[in-house]
Amino acid sequence: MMRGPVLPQARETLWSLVAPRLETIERGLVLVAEGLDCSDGTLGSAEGLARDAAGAPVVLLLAVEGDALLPARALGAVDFLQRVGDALAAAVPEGAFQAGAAGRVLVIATAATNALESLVRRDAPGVQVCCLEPFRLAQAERFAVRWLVPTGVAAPALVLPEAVQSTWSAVERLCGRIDESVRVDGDRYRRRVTWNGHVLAECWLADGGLHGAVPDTDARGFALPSDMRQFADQLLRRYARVAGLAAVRGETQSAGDEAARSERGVGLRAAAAAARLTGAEIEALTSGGVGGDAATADDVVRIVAAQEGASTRVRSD
Amino acid sequence: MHQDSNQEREQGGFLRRWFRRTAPATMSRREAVVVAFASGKGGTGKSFLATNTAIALHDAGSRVALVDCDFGLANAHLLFGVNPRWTMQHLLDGGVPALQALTKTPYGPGLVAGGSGIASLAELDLRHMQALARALQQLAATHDVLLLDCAAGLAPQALVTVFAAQHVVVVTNPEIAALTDAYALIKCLARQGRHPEVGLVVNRVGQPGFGRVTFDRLAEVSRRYAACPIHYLGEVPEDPQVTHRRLGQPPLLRAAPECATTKSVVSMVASLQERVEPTRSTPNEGIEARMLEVIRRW
Repeated sequence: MMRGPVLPQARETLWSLVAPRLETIERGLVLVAEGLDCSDGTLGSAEGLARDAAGAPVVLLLAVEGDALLPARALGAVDFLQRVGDALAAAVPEGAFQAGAAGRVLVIATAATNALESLVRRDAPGVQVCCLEPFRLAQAERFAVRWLVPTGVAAPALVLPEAVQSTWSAVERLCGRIDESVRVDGDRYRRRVTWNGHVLAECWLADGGLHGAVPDTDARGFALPSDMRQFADQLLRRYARVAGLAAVRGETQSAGDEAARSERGVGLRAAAAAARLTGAEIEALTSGGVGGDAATADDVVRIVAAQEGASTRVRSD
Repeated sequence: MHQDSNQEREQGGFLRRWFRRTAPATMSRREAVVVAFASGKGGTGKSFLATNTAIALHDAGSRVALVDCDFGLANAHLLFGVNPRWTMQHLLDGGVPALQALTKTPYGPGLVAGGSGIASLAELDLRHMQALARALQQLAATHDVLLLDCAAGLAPQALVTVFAAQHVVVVTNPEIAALTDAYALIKCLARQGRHPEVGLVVNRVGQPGFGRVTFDRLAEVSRRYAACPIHYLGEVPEDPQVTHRRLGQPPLLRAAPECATTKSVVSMVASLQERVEPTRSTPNEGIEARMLEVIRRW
């Protein structure tokens, strides 16, 4: 009998799988210590105490089947974090928690249970719930992370320092303008930009700043306006490339190509289908040329800006 | 006398026979020059350029009709500031003849407004397209210039109207998405055995001269990869007067005849006129025939 990809339900076994993979659940999440009892033993121990990318304490709770006390444990942990506040940083110096960073409780589940649903419905401040979706790849079990909210599944809000909020807003607007199929999702400290399943870019928070990277390019911080422009340009090039996936990069097609000639006079549908750009054509259109890079990105930024407040205006096209 | 009248009768018979035999092949008729404004990407400024081109050509003394072929998202009537009684939908449904569907605008050119009842291009079937071909033929017979404001994209219904034209003005912006989409359209045109002459206008240019740079790049790629020569019609600068226009304002050519954008549009129209000549066509070569040929290979 074939065994499906099933995550272990026993708390200890599940914890041994999850603990080394906290980074997969949320970027920058680091385990500080295992076993946190903050209820005098009445509600049992939390699985661990971690530090997130912003330096805030995170109490980790595993939700397993039959754990009827889960909501009480989660809410008790939130109470504990609120009571101790910044004192936790002094009490757990090895945690290197950031003073003033509000703590939270992260509940990690593997299956929907009544207790879990009850907790999600409460939508309690300071409590986040994620569900691990197991699958098997190359004989190894892995999991994907879904963030649960009362209305279903959604990416948790990105935690942004005020200084980078406008930068992130510009990135979001740009992504919204590229294509309706472009999606932006992720966790509190990371966002992934995808188009029909293809990763276009990733942005994350580190060292109090926003960073971004497009596949096959170096990561960059958004310290200067030019960083944003270059990132936008790389993102659009990446989009153009993956949107023309049918083409083999570097393929060439000359005007005198006999094959091209034979395709002339085809029907409209065939002509439209054949109009998909090849990698060589995209490369020729997007690279080279005078003033290419900066001007392209500038224009994108301009168009994004022009869209703002345009709802009351008459479109000229 | 009798012999003469016989000779005349015989001569007349010969002429009638000769005329009947040769007339379908040689009798040409005057027909409007048909220019399509097209783009791969939406929002590049087709309608803005089409409406102002219509006015500029009218001012130059031509009888001009603009047909809003962007069936799903028609807005040329807004730019002309008219509230048409008849629209493309009435025309396609056969409810009104083409000339009746033509709305006179306050600025001179006639307008066949796009219908708002047609939710999308996909709803247009072959019967509709054949009705459109007949209507365009009627309009072409009574005008000097027929401008088609085509829908963006490469949907067959959009392409049919592009192929109806003898000249297509591809409108693009100097940004990558518009540029690649414009090239896709050119490539699509080039795949057809007989396609309209392609001119390029670069709209919303930030820096003077960047339109030419954009054209050079696109022309090189089109020549090299699609074997399709294109010619440069000009650039139109980015202008808040255009993007911030509000309902009720007259078209730019009337509202600000001396501004730089107007001058660039007039210059673009002049470039277009240099390449456009009055045409005569036989019944087998007119706009209806061209459209039906494309529809046949749908």
